[in-house]
Amino acid sequence: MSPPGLVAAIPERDGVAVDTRYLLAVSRALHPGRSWGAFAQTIYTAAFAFGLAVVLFWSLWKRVAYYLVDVASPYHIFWGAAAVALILLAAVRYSTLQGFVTYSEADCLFLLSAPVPRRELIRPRLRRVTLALAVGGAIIGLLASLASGGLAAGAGRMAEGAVAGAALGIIIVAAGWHVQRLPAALTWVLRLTIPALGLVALLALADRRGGTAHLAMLWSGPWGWGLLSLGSSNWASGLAGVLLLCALATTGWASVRRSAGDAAVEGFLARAQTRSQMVAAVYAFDARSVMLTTRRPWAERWRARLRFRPPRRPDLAVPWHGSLVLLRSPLRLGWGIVLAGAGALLLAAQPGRTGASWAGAVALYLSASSLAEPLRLEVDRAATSATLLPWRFGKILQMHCLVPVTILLTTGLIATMVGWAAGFVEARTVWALAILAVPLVSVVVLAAALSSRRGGRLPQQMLLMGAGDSTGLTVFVLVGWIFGWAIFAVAAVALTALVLARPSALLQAVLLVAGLLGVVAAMLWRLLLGSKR
Amino acid sequence: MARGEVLLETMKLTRRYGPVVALDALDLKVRAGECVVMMGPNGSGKTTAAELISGLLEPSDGRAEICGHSIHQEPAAVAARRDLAYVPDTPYLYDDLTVSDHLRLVAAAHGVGDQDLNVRSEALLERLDLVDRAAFFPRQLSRGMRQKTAIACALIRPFQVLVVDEPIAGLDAASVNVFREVLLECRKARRAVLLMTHSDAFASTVATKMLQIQEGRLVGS
Repeated sequence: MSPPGLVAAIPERDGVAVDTRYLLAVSRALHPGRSWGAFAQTIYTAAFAFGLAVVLFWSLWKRVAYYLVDVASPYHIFWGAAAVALILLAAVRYSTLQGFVTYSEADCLFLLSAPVPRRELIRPRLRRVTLALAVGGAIIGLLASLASGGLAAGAGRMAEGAVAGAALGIIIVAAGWHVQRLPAALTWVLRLTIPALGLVALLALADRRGGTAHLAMLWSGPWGWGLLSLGSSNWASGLAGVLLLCALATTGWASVRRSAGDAAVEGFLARAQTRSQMVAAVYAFDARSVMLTTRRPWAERWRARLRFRPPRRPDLAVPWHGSLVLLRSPLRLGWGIVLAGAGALLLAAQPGRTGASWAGAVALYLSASSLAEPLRLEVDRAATSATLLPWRFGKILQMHCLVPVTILLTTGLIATMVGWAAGFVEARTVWALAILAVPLVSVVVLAAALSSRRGGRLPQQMLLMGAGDSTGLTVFVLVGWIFGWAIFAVAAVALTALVLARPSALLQAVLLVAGLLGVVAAMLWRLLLGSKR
Repeated sequence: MARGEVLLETMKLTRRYGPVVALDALDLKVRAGECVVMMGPNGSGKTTAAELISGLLEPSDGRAEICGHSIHQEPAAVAARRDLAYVPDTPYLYDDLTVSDHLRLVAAAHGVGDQDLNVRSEALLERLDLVDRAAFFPRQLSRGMRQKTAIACALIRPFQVLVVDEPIAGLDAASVNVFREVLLECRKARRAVLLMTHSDAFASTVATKMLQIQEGRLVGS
């Protein structure tokens, strides 16, 4: 017999019949990690851990239940509709990034590109996830009806709770699946997330009001229908709510079944690539890289058109780069400006009130941290600046601080002046802040820069220390590492607030604190200069 | 299969990313026995074209057909996938499958019988110098070895159309020669081949037609 060629002969009959079940069986056999035994073991471990958590934290659960369940109220469960709406929103938002049906990159090439109807590959996974969420929803629904006095109301109400929970589970899968397979739905979810969060807040507000507002909230959508049966004295409205949910779940499941074969490989592949980057970042304890994998560069292409002329002075090249990055992230820039204005106003308007001062200090630090994003990007790609820019790394990071300092100073002073013009900031506070502004803002921005220059990855020594620590003290070291600079900056602002609240000898105190902050800022500036790639 | 029959055809195949047009109305025909080579600078749209034709990307406009079946429309796509073999520029492999496991999986996916699988996988592993690596996992392989595994996966099953994206990147000289033989054998066996590459020297030894692509458009042949 002659040796076979490199190119396979085409079979005599027209096409090769491939049995999907046989293909899936071979795939399962080759991937031992996906066996039923391993799946059962995962379920067992999860159930065991859940049981253990219930027993260990029983008193905590009781306290949570005390806050959320009020048997004296006619509706018994607080924020139920808002919580359900939030879960629905989280599910569709999750589906923009991953989704309930996912495949690996290799699956996209070998499994989804096999000559079998794609719906036959996808449907079993959809069935499994729907079953899991329906069962999970039923259990939660049952527990919710028990918490709202289900035993007293009888088995009917408990059954209604379980059915409503199961229906909600199916609706969540259906909504997630359609977001996953339809690019237009995905875009709308991304656009409408913030308005939807506003709706959730409204639902939470309406929940406490009772009467017509509460009733309207319960009937306003699937988030409230399941709750109609909980604690409602009118059994008919409860039944109507559950029937509405069942109708929606049936329609949803039918549409999922029908569209199982319509999903493009492209979506699965993009999700697989995102997931592998994210998993790598999680294993490296790199929180920033995890966050960066959730960004969608193609959604930001239009921003490339935003540009302005680079400066003639070389010293301004880095601030120009920083300004461009911030202008191309209008949401971040706007958020930074709002926080800076609010922080300055809180500090100036009520320097004597501790709560307002702390809130102002936190807002100022968050603003500085938000505006330090160009610096963080520089840290992410430290090798780039080494090849493109002539300065040492610390100097580049220093130059990245100029734009945030300018924005914080300008916004803070404008907000304070507006407050003074409106009559709720005293004149003496305005001039005191005018003296303190430069050193104070410098300290806050430099602290944010020093925090950001470390990137998102935890140092290896800390991980090793955590692994070998039996005292539990590593948690404090960890918290200090993450929040140390933030605490430092907030303390500096709080010190300023103390001075502003002084009834007498204000000038001397202001000059003293300004000098002190100036020295601290100079030290931080020097510390930043010593940064290494 | 009659010589000259069109096995791969694209009609106004277009892909846009927001305002960027990665591939602009590509009209292409590859006939049985032809090896069409698409060449162009980085970012010219070669990989986008390959991924669109293989069904990994969805077109913004236009269509791609393999042996008369649309690759993007179910259920016709099932027949198209049966006749198409694709070697991507990045070899996507399962971390938990060995080289020979990959061949078994692809064989199962394309209805290759056990006897055929044994004979063909032995021959392919030997020709591609993978015999010693058959029980290796992808993470134990070099970039070139992974690329050869991806090539073996494409060749283990019968196909009418072979789409290959930058196949020789990372391959040693001996493997490049083997791959050249594969392409020449494809021509002899009257399969249609579409090859994306940067290498002028390699392309000129296998091509029946060479196309130039620039900024997503065919600019000459």
